[in-house]
Amino acid sequence: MLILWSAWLLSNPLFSFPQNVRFGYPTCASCHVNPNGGGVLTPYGRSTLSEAMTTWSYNGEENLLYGLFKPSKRIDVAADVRYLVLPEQRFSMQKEFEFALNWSRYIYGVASSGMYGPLDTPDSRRYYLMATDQKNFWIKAGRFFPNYGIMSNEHYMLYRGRNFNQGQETWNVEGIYRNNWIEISAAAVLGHPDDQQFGTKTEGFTSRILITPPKWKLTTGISFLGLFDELGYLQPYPAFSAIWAPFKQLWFETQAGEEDAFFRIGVEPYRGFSIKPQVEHTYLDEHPKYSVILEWLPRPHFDVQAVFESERYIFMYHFYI
Amino acid sequence: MNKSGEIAKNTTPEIYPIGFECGPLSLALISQSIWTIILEPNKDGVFKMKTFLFALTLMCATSHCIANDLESIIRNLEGELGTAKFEAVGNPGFLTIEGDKGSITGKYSKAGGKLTGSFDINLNSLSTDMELRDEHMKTKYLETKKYPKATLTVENVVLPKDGYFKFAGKLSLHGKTNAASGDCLLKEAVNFECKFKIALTDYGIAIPEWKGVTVAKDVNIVVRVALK
Repeated sequence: MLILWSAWLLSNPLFSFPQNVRFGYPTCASCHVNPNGGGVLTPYGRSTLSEAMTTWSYNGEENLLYGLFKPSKRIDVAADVRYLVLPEQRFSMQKEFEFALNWSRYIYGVASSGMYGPLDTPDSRRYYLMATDQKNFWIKAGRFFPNYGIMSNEHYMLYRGRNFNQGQETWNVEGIYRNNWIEISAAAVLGHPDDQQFGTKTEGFTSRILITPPKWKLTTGISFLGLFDELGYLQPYPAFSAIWAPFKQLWFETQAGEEDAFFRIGVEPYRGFSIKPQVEHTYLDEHPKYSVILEWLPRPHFDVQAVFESERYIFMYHFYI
Repeated sequence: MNKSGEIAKNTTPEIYPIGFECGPLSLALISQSIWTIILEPNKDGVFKMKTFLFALTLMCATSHCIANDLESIIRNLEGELGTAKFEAVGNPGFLTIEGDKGSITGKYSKAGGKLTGSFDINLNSLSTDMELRDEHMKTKYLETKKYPKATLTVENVVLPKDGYFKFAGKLSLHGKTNAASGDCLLKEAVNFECKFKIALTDYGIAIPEWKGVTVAKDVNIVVRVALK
């Protein structure tokens, strides 16, 4: 149970906010180097964090090391420490460094390195080359999570159980096309670094079609994950997902597959502080699981999360430079 | 209402600045339905927490609507004819930038089924809901200290009884004047919603750019006025 709880609550290093559709951001590409979201922020992403998401900030505080360094045109840097407090134990679940070098913002080289979990297991979970025209097209090759459903920072079991858990970033080649109304992406999943060691074969593909009607503050679509099993048969995992923000302070998220479903309400009564009740039912659960997430981003470089279920609580502290 | 061209005072537009009716009662019912469907009170402690969260959700869902309605009533008492908003797109990411609350005053006359008028949009009242972005918009790009208003003039625009029609006029913005034309929707003979597109470069406005995100040069303008 402890392992499942830890797995569920380990805030994925992706740390993206798809609910930012409420600010007019239908995708993640404005704020993140990775157009799928998560990971190192662009200078614009840091600025948006400060302007729209944290309770307080001073001018330039969002920049590297509290504004000690000004934004660079060539390199974006991130370093994250996440500390987990459970009733039974506490430990740092992530200590990670990521950087993204670019040539005119059209060609990128991204790499991360860190230590994870209570045993400080070293790993390099994301490294890829990317080319983009910064408007309609992205192509990436390397190790990362391919596009599938809502790439939320609170990764629920529905997502984690489908090969998107901590450390399950795969080698992929992915292409994305986007315009004002639609995003189409497809990725070939080419394996996982641990396949040889454990004799597994993590191969397949993902695809996602998202509809993002301008002004509707809505992102919805269908995803498909297909992984080959040991006998060479393709195991399909289709899913529907939607994020809708009728108001800036209120949004809804949902994702549902054949055996899994998830629904969350997000309320932000005060800027930077949000309350997110949710219900989730996956193939691993006998009964639906209810919980409430409280999240506070008081200032840039720090945020805190508390999760309450009927019988347990979890706190997570996140520091980043 | 005065048809001779005097500024209409104490008007109460029957249109909602946010673009749709915002009924607190309907929102409360929706919130309650969602809550009932998703969560079932089964224990006292849990039920109390859920009740509290329900009340919080309801308060947040309705506060936005109430604030907007109050704001529109206050502005109406100041003699405004309506509001203007703009929609722009930024890349990467096709982010939508919306600016609204641009108050409109002006003079107009409706005679013989034709509208002639001059409408001033107060650019200082525009808001994109982000302080830094508003500051850049007004100081760096629109230069509202030098050019505090945009003026849309129309002459002898033929009005239908109700429904869609085309309009043509001139827009003065940032010290330059260009032809402007677009589509309008007229409801109940007094409520106008007109949309047209402009190119920022036609008005000498530099293409906005901030930390790698660039705004597309074409911007959509929406003007909502009540002209009785």
